[in-house]
Amino acid sequence: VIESYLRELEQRLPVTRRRRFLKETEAHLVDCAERHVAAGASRDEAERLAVEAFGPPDELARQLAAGSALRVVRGATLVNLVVLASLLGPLYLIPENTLPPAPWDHEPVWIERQQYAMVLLYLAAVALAAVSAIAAWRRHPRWSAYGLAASSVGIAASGALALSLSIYWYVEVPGTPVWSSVVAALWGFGVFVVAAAATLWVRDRARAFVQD
Amino acid sequence: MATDPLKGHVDLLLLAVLEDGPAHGYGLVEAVRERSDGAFDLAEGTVYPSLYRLERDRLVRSRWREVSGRRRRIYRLTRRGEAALQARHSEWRSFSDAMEAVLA
Repeated sequence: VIESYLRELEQRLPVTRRRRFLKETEAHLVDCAERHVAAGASRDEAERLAVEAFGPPDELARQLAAGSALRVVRGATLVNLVVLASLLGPLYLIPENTLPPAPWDHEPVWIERQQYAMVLLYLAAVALAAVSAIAAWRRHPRWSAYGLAASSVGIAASGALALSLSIYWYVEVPGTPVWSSVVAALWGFGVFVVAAAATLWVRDRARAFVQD
Repeated sequence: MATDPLKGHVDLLLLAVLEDGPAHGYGLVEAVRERSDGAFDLAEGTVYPSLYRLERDRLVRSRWREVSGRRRRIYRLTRRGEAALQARHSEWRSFSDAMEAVLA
């Protein structure tokens, strides 16, 4: 009974607390079951009573997720800020220093617009990241998580634009080094994956985030 | 007694029990039950999120220890925890006195 309860609990627990909580739970349930056995219950009955007294796995998982939400969100906002700072490389430093000049006399309007959109999305992502970090430090994990998701969407969109522009540049402008396009492509793809994962994570966990 | 009225007071109960000395999770639940003559029957699993919160706020600290041949996570009150307990206890007394005055 205890083993199947622990397996059920394991599937529901947030990763951050899983290992320790399971070990403590097992020790707790064994102690509790022994007390019931000492009082005359059969082993099965004792384990069933111990598990019942411990509480439903869903509720415990919700409480643990809520308890660790602030810590997790604070860490995530810091990672988000680092990701945004590192975007300056593929968005600005690498193109400015490695790409050959454009061969056309007048830059196509769509390129100019795409660059503006890329920068605006980046700035919006930075602003949302800052708001998200402030919310986390003011103990509002739920709002911080939503800000984080919105910031991730902004980064993903900006990364996608940067990626498409770098591919266009590589195809149209002779002398564009392969490595800068590869870096931009990998970066754009990586940012997209991270942003998508962050958004899915927030969608799954936001309900459990309560104001501490 | 149902566990709902205890909501918000579990931290204080745990700090109060830990004032008597270090204990593991199950020991804390048992101590609360005994000291309240069975009136406070905590939902046992929910003690741990409270303990983790207290640990995060550095009011308690914990360590794995061997107890009766088994590994147990033992919780201990910190100095900060002692101060928090005094403050919360005094808040509780004021609240309780005020309630009594109104209800009397």
